Amino acid sequence: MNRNMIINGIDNESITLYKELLEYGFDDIVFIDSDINKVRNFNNEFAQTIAFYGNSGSTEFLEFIGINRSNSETIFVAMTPTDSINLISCEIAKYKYKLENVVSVVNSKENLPLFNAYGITELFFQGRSILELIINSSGITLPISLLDIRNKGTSLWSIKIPKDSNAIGMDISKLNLPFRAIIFGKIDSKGNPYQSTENIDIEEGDNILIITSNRNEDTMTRFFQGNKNA
Amino acid sequence: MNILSIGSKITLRKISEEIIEKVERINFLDTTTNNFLNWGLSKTKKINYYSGDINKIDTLIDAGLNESNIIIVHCENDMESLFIAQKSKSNANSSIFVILEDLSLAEIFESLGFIIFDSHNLKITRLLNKLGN
Repeated sequence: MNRNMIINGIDNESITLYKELLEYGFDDIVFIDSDINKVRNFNNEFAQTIAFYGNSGSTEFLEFIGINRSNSETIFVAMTPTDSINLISCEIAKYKYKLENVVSVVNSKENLPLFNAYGITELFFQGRSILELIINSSGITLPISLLDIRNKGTSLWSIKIPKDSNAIGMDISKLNLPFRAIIFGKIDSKGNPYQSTENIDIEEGDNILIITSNRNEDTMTRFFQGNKNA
Repeated sequence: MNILSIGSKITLRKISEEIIEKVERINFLDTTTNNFLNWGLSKTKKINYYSGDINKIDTLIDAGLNESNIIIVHCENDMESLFIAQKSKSNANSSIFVILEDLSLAEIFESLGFIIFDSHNLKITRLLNKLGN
């Protein structure tokens, strides 16, 4: 089956993204945006029209640019700087047009659970890497998503145990988390891995590996924080 | 019943005028309270005005989200209205009414539990029924 891709949102990196996608074998790509200048500037770079101006909340416009094309599997990507546009356009793609491949950028961390709750689970959080660097260097440890379990809203997480964590000294095999999760085990500060079935205490600097829903991220952060940061 | 009304479109003003006698409290929220200046509804114990970034959950909570039985949303555009309606659903005990300009999206969001009104043909029977008429 053919594949076509619709990318909602044009930014400074869209031309690079377009060229890279071509190298990966995607040749049926359109960009859409509600800013006519962005559309015009983008199209000026190419001989053919690749970008279209319109409202991604309009089903008429989405159909015009090929969201329900027959005999083609449509991939919808929302990457505007506005979470309301990203979420609603993805929901239209997923629920009205039954697309299976829907990907979104999330601009505000506050909105991550909202996207997950409405089934938009292929997410990229814009500020995560910078935020993690800043927060982690201030003594608070954020969980890092190592792997998204596709279409489940669940991830494999790694969380580093900070100095004042309440979890220090707890037996990993008896760790009782206040949310549903699978604890894989820990990797100590020297890189040695231990299974969660081993009777071994959690120590400062350990990385705990956990599978749980993305909506538990904040609860997990609070659980493993120290008293100073609680 | 406590009402949280988000936005400042004329539709919300009309609805407020119709239901004001039937409710205990209406909290109006928009990006600025200046948008309510010409509404003619004076600030009373029953009516309160709030402002802030309506895309933020803290703003919604400060405006009484968690104490509201009914939430009515009509913002600058349908995308924003639907987004805020979905954020408001963190109060699971409330009924959420969304006023849309384009009804082609109604079916999707009704299936997600929202009650949709048409801004061009405003009929609020379902809201009045909720209030016990």
